Parts: sequence; structure tokens; C-alpha cells
Amino acid sequence: MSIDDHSPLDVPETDDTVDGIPVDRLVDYLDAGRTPRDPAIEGSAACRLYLQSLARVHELSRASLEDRATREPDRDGAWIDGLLDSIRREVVGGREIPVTHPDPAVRLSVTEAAARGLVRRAGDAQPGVVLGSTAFEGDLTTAGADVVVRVTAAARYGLDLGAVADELRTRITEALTRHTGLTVTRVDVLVDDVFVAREDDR
Amino acid sequence: MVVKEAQCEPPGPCTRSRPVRSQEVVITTDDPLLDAADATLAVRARDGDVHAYEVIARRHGPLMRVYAARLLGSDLESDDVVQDAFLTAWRRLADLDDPSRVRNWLMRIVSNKAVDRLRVRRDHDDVDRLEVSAPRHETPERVVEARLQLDAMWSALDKLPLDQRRCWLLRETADYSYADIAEALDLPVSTVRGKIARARAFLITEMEAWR
Amino acid sequence: MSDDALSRDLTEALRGVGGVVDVFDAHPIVEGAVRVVAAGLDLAGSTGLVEISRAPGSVSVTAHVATSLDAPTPETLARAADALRGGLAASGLAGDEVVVSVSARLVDVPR
Repeated sequence: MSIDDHSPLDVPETDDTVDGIPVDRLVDYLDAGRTPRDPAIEGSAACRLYLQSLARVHELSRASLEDRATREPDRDGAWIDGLLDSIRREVVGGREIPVTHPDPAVRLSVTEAAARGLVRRAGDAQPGVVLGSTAFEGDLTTAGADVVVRVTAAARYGLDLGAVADELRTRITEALTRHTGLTVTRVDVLVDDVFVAREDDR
Repeated sequence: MVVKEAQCEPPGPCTRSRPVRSQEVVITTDDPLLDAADATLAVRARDGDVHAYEVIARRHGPLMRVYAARLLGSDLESDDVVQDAFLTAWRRLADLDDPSRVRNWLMRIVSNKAVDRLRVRRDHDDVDRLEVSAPRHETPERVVEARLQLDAMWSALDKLPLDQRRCWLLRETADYSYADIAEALDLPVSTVRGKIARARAFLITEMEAWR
Repeated sequence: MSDDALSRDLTEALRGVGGVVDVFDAHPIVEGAVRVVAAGLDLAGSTGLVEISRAPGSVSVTAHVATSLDAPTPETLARAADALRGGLAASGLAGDEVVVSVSARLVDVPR
């Protein structure tokens, strides 16, 4: 098995060169993306070969971990269930959006977190759309207050983005009106990502 | 809808969350988040979407676990470290400047957590446990050169002395600077350079055979 | 009837309200551990999730729920408040000094 490395010569091997060029310089050159072009390095076949081996080793190093990760069976879903339970307990509700009720001794409200969830759900339910971020502007803490909703979303390539945004506005406004009593004065939609529809024969 | 090929690792039942039949194509569930971009998932999680965070955790958890195990030298604490990392990351999502880089950000956090563990061990004079090699999975598919190369690299990383491997992985996978690594592992910077140089030379030589 | 028993009764009452999909713990987090320990000593079992808090001359009752997408949440919340008032009246607590608060933490599909 592997044992810890206690070699007495814990110094960089400064005499390591390729065609007279120090390895450290080649490493830095590769890290910099081989620009600006260094004629001394690029002019040496041995150096180019070394850079190639080095790049390969970098790439394989990461790839071997990723490969191993995809091949490991999902050992036990338990670790993630415990994690999610802890996280759910930490979800902060945010501001309370008051819901009107005739009896002053009754106080009804919907949390800001619930309202965001509503917006995400409305967006996800629209075909070809995946909701991104959600933000509210306005005084949420006043019942029936005017509110502006700002969302980002990913849309399927090929859809008319104007139509997508219009439909999204309608869905979001309906959902918030139905469940929170907020007055949605505007919904700003930014489609900042486009995804390609999957083909069945991929 | 996504069509993917999936296999069970023999022997025994599949433990994947989706039902899988060997050698057949399966259609994933209708969850639009399963294929969503990291950036989308990250902004949703930041806004409080626990399910989006679950998708992130399932997507990147395995890599983080494998990586943590390599850093720590065994599987024993890697699960704890990854869980801890995800908990911390959840609380710090608001600090993530570029949501598209959530994976690298997570790798950074798990690196820090693993390094914290190493520090605790060192402070308590725990000898690095004899390393347990990750079990080799024999797959039934026919051998492909690309797979052999990855296995070869995996073994090569295995053969590195623990300190060299840590320095190498922290630099390569988590983009730690030499100074960061020196501080994390409590070594002089020149020693870190030396270990990385030796690790590099070793790995290049090992992989020569595969050209 | 102890407040904890009352809380349990009110929790059950909420679960029966049309449109209420789930009931969450409305107690502040710090109290949680203490209540769980206290509940362990109580033969009846699980703790109530509705918070009952008393001050001189007033009682305030707070519930956190998940409401269904199927019905407008304001209506569901109003029904929930009615159910709480009914439960309180049944145990002799009624009148001006009682304030009932219901907050929807989540709006979701019914299970």
C-alpha cells in the first residue's frame, strides 16, 4: 500500500529540464494556455512532447476521478435524505405576506418562500420552460400591495421567446393572485439560457 | 424526454434511484430539473428550492465523495466530509458569485472540509491510516482503450505517496495555489513544489505506457 | 387540558381542514429540543405543532401549514383559522383575548 513520503530531499528538482528548459517554466507555460507563444518552447520537439504528456496527465487526473464517480453505485440514498431533512429545517420563510381577513383577531399570511415556490412551479409547468431565479420588489408586508416580480428562465431552443415570456407572465400573475392576494403590477422575464430539446434517437 | 443507456454493476440489485434494466435504454422521469444546467439549479437553490439542491447534490456528490476519499486516504470519513460540505454550501449559496461555477465551488468547499479533517488528525497525532484501495469494479462491457487509460491513471494516483497525492489533487482538482496547499497541509511552500514535481514526474512516466 | 394536549388536538383539527396538505412545527427552534424531551415523558406521544403562547389577558395561537394548489390559499387559510377557533372554543378559550395566526409556508400539490 502507499506509505507517506518522507524523502529527505524535499526540494524542487531544479535540475529537471527538457531541452535545457526548466520543467517549472513548461508547467507555467501550459497553465497560461501556451500564450503568448514562446518560440523557444514551441521550437523544441522534446518540449512540445512534454507539454502534450503534461496536458494529458492533467486531463486524465480529473477524468479518472469523474469516471470513478459515475461508476460507483449510489451507495445509500440515506446520506442525501438526512442532508435534505436538515436543510428543509433551515429554509427561511422570509417576509410574511399578509392575507386579508375580516376578523382583526385572525392573521393570515403566506411566506415569501412559499410565493417563490409558486412562481417556480408556475414556470416549470409551462412546456419548454425551466424557471431560474425569482425576486419580488415592493412592500410584501402590506396586504394586497403592488408587487413587481422579476424572474430568469431557461427556454427550449426554437420557441418564440416573446410568446414564452407573455405566457409566463400570465401564469405567474395568476398563481400569485390566486394564492397570495398580491397585486402583481409587472412581471419582468429574462430568458438567460436556452436548452436543446432532446431527440429520441440520440 | 431523455433516452439514456444504463447498466447495473454486478452482482446484485441495482441501487440507482431510477429503475434500470441491464443493457436496455431507459427513459428518465419527467422531472425537468434533472437535466437543468448547474447555473439554473444553483439560483433556484439559492432562492430556497430544496429539490433543486437535491439534484445538485446527486449530480456532484459522487465526484466529491471519490475526491474526498482520495484526499483523506480512505473512504471512512469521506461521506461525513461531503455531507458537511453540502450543509455549509447550502448556507453560503448567497455568496456564490457565478452560479455556473457551482461545481468548482463545491469542490473547493469539500477540499477545505477534508483539509480540516487532516488538520484535526495531525493535531491529535493520528497516524495516517493505512490506505484502503478503492475496490476495482469489473464491468461486463467489452474493454475499451479509453477506459483502460482512466483505470491506469486511477491506479497511478493510488500509487502516489499520500502527501504527494494530496498536493497534486488540491492543485489539479481544486485549483489551490501553492501557498494555499502549504497552509492547508502545514508544509513549507518549497516542499509543496517538490511534492507536486515528483507527483507530476511519476504520473507522466506511468502514463507513458499508454501512448 | 394542558397546552401541549390542546396543541395536539388543534394539530389534528388542522389536518382535517380541506386544502391543508401538511402541518409544520410553528414553535421557535430553540424550544424544540426542550419540547421533545417533555413529550418523551408524556404518555400520549407526539407533540403538537400548533404554538400556544400566553400573556396576561391574551392567548395567541400560531399554526404553520402547507396549502394545496387546488384551492385558493386565502380561503384555505380562513378555513384553518375557523378550525382553530372551533378547537379553542371547545376547550373553553374564546373571545376577544384570543388571536389566531395561520401562515402558509408552502403551496404544493396534495399528496
